[in-house]
Amino acid sequence: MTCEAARRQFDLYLYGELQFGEEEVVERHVEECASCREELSRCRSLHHAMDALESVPPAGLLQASRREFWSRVSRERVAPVGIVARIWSWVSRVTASPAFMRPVGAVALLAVGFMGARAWDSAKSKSEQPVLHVRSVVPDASGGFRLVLDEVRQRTVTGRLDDARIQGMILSAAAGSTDPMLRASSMDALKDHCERADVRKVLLTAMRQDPNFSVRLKAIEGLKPFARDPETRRALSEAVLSDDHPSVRTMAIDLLAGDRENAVIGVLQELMLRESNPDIRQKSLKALRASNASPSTF
Amino acid sequence: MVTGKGQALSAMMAASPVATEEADLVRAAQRGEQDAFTALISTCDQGVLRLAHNLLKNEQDAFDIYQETFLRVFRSLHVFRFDCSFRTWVYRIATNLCLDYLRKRKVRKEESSLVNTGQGEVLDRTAVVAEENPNLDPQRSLLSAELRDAVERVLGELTPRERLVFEMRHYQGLRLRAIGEVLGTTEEAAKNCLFRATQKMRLALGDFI
Repeated sequence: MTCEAARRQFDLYLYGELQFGEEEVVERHVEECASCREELSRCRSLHHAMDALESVPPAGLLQASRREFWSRVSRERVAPVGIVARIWSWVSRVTASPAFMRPVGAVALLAVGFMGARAWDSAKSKSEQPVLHVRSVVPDASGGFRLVLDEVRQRTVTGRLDDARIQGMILSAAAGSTDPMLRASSMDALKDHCERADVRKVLLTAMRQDPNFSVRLKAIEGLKPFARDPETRRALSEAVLSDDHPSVRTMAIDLLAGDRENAVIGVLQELMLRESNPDIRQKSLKALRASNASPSTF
Repeated sequence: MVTGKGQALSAMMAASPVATEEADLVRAAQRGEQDAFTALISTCDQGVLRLAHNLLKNEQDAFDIYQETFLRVFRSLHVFRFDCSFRTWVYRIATNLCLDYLRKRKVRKEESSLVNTGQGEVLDRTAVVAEENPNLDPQRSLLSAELRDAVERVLGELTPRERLVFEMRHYQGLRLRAIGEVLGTTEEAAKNCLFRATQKMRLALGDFI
């Protein structure tokens, strides 16, 4: 192998992208050639220098991105789906179908157009009827669609939390409502029932994904009695490292403080590296000292 | 060097029990199961955000890429046909969006981004500086500002495709085969692209190392 050929392979060698045989040839050449050895060492230094330049997304960006995404998804889900959107969904489906299905799709679209024109007037005359909200449209195996509809009909129900029906409704409001006030009051109602796995699941999801920080705080508060539960501890650790609201990070540290688990200590040490809020840094430092742990990982 | 990371990520992308589990999750999400969709997104959203942030060096752009990628995933999941893994599909969407951003940025830069301050100084309006926390990595603070500037400059001179391949191989640790699949090209083409990128960097940074 010539020096030039060996040097062309150095980057792929360092990335571990060479075949076993190719790697052997490069290594043998480098063992025998001092100048290539030096060149490989320079390449390695360059790779290390590049490693150090990786820009890490700031704490909170992932959580903020997730929250915005789920909030957009929930807006899309609850938005009333008009006739145009429904037809467009059909068009997308047809254009994505195998070629042999497309003529069938074209005939179906013509039929939709014809029926749509006829239905237009009758739809207008029925406009006083309650509007249905389409929650989801899922194609089924027969080529049709399965639609889940929300019908808006107001009524009052009363009951205690030990009533499964009442608890189910509150769980649903806590997890699915677009109104943050309603989600927060539902969290309040559920917080004394954390012994139930489904309640904990809703609170954990809210802690991780809810776009409103007050709701996230309520969820953390509700999970207090389960702070030592592994899943809760994981969610609290995530909040400590990536929630964009300082109150949430502070409350999560409070719940994790005193836990001498290595993983928790590691989270607090990691926080010391990335946290810029002095109060939170102080709190984390205090928690680490209480656990007889150092503030850094060395 | 990120060969360790690379092996781990590639293993995740290869056919395995993990892949089977992923396919089950995709089917469940296609049936409208929210938990399955949430689980699917959480398998790859951190990687997508990291890719976009490191590539575009801008928090807002990374945030936008995240939103656009996963909204497209949400809207098109019902037409996903398992021609590739879900993760590859998501990365394909994200990388195409990133490429568009990089190309637009390059055009803007070539057109009119250089402004004369009037004090004999020329500034690049589109140049973005990565947000850095000096506590994040002690190695980083040791790196000379000069070298950092040189690296930023040479990364800016790579073509969007070279930049993307380098980013996915060096920082994301994806194997070249997986990168080829994401970009809809061959492993060989991805290898050539990486070779060009590293050659340019070695030439430009040779004096610093």
